[in-house]
Amino acid sequence: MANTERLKALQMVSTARKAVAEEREKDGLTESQQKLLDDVYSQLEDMEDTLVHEDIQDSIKSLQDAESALAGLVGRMKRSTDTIKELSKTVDTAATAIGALAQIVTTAVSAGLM
Amino acid sequence: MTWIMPPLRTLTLVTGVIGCLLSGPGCAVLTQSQIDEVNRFATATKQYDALPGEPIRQYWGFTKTNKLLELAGSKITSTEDAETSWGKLSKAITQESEFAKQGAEADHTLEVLTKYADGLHALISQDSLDELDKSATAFGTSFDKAVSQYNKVVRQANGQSNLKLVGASVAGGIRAAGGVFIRTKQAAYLRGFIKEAAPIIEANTTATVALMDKMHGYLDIQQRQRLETNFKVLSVREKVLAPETVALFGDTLAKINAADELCNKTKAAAEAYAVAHTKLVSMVDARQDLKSDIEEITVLIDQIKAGLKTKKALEK
Repeated sequence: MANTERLKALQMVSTARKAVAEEREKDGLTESQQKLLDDVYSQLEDMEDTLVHEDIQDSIKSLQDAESALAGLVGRMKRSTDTIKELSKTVDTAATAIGALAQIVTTAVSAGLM
Repeated sequence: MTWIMPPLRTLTLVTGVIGCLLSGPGCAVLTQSQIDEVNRFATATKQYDALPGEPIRQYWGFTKTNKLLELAGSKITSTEDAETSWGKLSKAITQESEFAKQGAEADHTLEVLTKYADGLHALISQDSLDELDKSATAFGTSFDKAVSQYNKVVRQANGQSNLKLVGASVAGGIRAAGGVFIRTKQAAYLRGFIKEAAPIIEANTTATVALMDKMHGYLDIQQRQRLETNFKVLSVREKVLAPETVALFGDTLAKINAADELCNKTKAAAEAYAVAHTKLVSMVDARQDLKSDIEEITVLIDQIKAGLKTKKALEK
């Protein structure tokens, strides 16, 4: 059911439930009248519950759409964070290489190779 | 072997310049106050996802209570009536646990905001710089060790004066250049992601506000009205209500009012979230030190706290 139709139906059911409620609140009803009204009231409530449940589900669907879009972005954020960590590792590797080079130069000099 | 010295003297300067060049125009790093505000925003929003599902859970709880109160007002004159009432009672219980799952679904959709907050934290984390610190320090130490060895083996053996130990300066240069490079990359990613997230956050806020408006209406039209009907019907039929029954009506009405209040607070928190996020977007673009905390984030924190307080009261 489309959302507009559902909301119209819900409004009609709520109005009907309210009208039945007013009858139920009256004093002096016979037992059979009470039962009949209680029954109708209960069925209208069930219909209302079904329509409200579906309507809330529609709103949750809108939230889920936004969630999917943001989840994709969060995934890319994580990959970018990993890239930054890699940059740090690259600096570490370069620093280690320069340190090793200095060591080699020193060793070469002490061995009379330079 | 004095050729080693000029590069050493200039290494700090050169690496600093390289760092800036690598980082693009204007060395566009984030200021510390900007980083602090992004972190403050991220920390504040971590509790936000617990709010929107609660009014839904409460709503279906009230539906059950109203149906049980309705049964209390129904006259049972036969076994068939008793069976019908038992069927209605069972259905009310089953329906509540089934429909209340929507609350968890709503909460689940907003958990991504916590992941987004975690992503912001990680993106501008100090960890990479701490790692760089360690690497640069290790390099400086190893460099000094190599020069000491050279002094001992070559310089001192030839009666020459020792070369200066400049490992600390070199390490400082690497740390400075690498730090600028990392911070610049972080800033660029952060700006890009926050801007990209803006329309999604807006859509999320619109959906949350619409849901809370709906729940506000449903709590009023469905639950408050049903409770009032039940009270009137029961009063007319029973003539005198037991104090416990009256107390139950009073307690349920108070909870409906509190759930309604929670809808308003959640709505306010959602709107504050969107406003604070928009401010964050303009803040990371401004590239300037912030004189004080961003007021919109303070408002957001207050709204979330207020919502959580009401939620806690409802859970009692």
